Amino acid sequence: MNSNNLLQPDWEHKKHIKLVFIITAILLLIAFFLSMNLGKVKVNLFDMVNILLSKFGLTDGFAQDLVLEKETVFFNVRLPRSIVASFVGAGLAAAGAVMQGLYRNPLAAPDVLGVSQAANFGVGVAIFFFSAGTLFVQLTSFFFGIFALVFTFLMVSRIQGSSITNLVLIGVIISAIFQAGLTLLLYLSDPYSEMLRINYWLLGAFNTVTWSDVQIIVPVVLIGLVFLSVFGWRLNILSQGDEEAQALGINLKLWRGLYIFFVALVVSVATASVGNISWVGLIIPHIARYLVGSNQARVIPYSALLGALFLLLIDTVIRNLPWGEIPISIITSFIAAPFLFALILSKKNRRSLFK
Amino acid sequence: MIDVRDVAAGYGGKPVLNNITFSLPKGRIMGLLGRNGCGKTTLFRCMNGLLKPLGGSIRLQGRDISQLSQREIARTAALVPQATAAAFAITVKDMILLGASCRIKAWQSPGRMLEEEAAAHAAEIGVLPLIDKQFNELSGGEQQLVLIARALMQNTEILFLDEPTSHLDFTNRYMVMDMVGQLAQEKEMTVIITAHDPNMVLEYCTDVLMIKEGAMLALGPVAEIMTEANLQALYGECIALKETDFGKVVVPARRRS
Repeated sequence: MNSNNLLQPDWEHKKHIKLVFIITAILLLIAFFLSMNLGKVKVNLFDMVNILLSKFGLTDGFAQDLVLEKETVFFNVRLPRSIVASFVGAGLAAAGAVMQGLYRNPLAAPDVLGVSQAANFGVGVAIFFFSAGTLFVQLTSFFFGIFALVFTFLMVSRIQGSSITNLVLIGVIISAIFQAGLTLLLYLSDPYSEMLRINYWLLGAFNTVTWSDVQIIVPVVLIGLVFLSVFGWRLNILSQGDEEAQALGINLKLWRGLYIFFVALVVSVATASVGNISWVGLIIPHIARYLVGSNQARVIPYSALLGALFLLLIDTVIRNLPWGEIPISIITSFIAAPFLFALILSKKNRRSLFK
Repeated sequence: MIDVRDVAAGYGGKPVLNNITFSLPKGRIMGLLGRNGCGKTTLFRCMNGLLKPLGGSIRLQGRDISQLSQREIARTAALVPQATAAAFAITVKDMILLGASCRIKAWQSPGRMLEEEAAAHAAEIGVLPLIDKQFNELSGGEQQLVLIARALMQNTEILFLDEPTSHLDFTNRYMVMDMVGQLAQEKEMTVIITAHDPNMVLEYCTDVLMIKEGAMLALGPVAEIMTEANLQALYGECIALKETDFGKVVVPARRRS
């Protein structure tokens, strides 16, 4: 039998996947343009090009004619905000895909590591003890996120046969501790100032985003995404189970450590900058797998693309609600919870969810 | 080909396996017999580099595996685990391709050359018609065959099979084992199989190692070692060896005849 003929359907399949990637990328570009354009101040493509050109000092002439308001809205508010929303969405979704593969559990999410909860606790500490400004809150949050990660690793290395179950248990323990710590801080804080600020931060907000957030988030998420995508195919092997992966030649501790490190990096930077955005890391990889199949080499980059699109769209919508902006986590939860419900009910997934 | 010398192994410093010594020349198929919990799996894990022995040495193709990286071990000996459902949907072809991971760089994914090799191995094993199906939708026997094809992707001369037939139905057992026997012969592979069914060992293996309570009970060619006395020493009085028209067959001893 000629093996080339048998591979033919797969090349067709690859074309289809390419198309899915391209369409999503185009949708992302359109969404990005819309997010720039929509709002109280309409900024059209012509304005955007002019403002950008003048910002790079390429056209003095045009810039003078521009309305200052448009420039402020577009360049100082919407552009950094939408860049951050896209990168946070991309980072969280890719991180979720990796966690699900690594933990061999379709319900795993970046939160499983306890990193998000630790980062949240950091927000509480910074605001409660130091009445800190934005940058300090972010740094504290990031510090606690990384601390949770290092702590996880120390615990795991002390336990014999560092299985995935142990990792999950340690994640649960870490989450519980930091959750309790945060609750304590909230209980002790002044309900009219600190508590409001902590809560608002934790609900997830893009309205405070500035170019300094862009400078932190974009490089970190980009590095994480590049690593996770480049080494995506290997994750298929780790998804087969610890011993099988080792027998197939994988240095388990090294690779699991690397994946978790980059996931935690991306998640803690995202949480530290814009608060807790729930569910993105859980549902986007499922949609991605539905559209491009389960090969992690495709799921991870495609999750990133889809996550960026998803969060950018939701952010654009909540920014333009007639009754004013609401925290983004409310919407992501409202969309994701029914989606997960449908997922559990669908026959196709039931087997893998409740194995 | 495989040299195991004075191996002791266990968990948390407590040995469950002691003084295991054997060597298996190229092209032989050795069955590993023993009751549940006797240390068969522990020995297997040591030979794959999944567990560090507490003492002794294991050499595969003349190389001490304690000196080899996990990747190098995977290029020397391939393990066929018991088939279980994959956590995520994965096609048969992608499953077979996972075997190529020890042959490519960390950042690479298998290219067209390896995909064609995977198709060739699938054809060899007889699962080519299934290649675009989902792994989880196959029967147990078919899954086991796919995992053998995956092991072949590792391009090794040594093959370890961990109870490849214990959860298969009668037809599938013989389908899988016929394939293993055929491969070993055609490719001159050296094979070790852990087995629960002594009849499988009688029919397909050239050598046998019996392990009882962590120690070697008997070792040698199947014809010499698979005696009723040895089998009863291993499994107890409940077992008997009968001559039939199809050769020796292990039967339950308390059955009225």
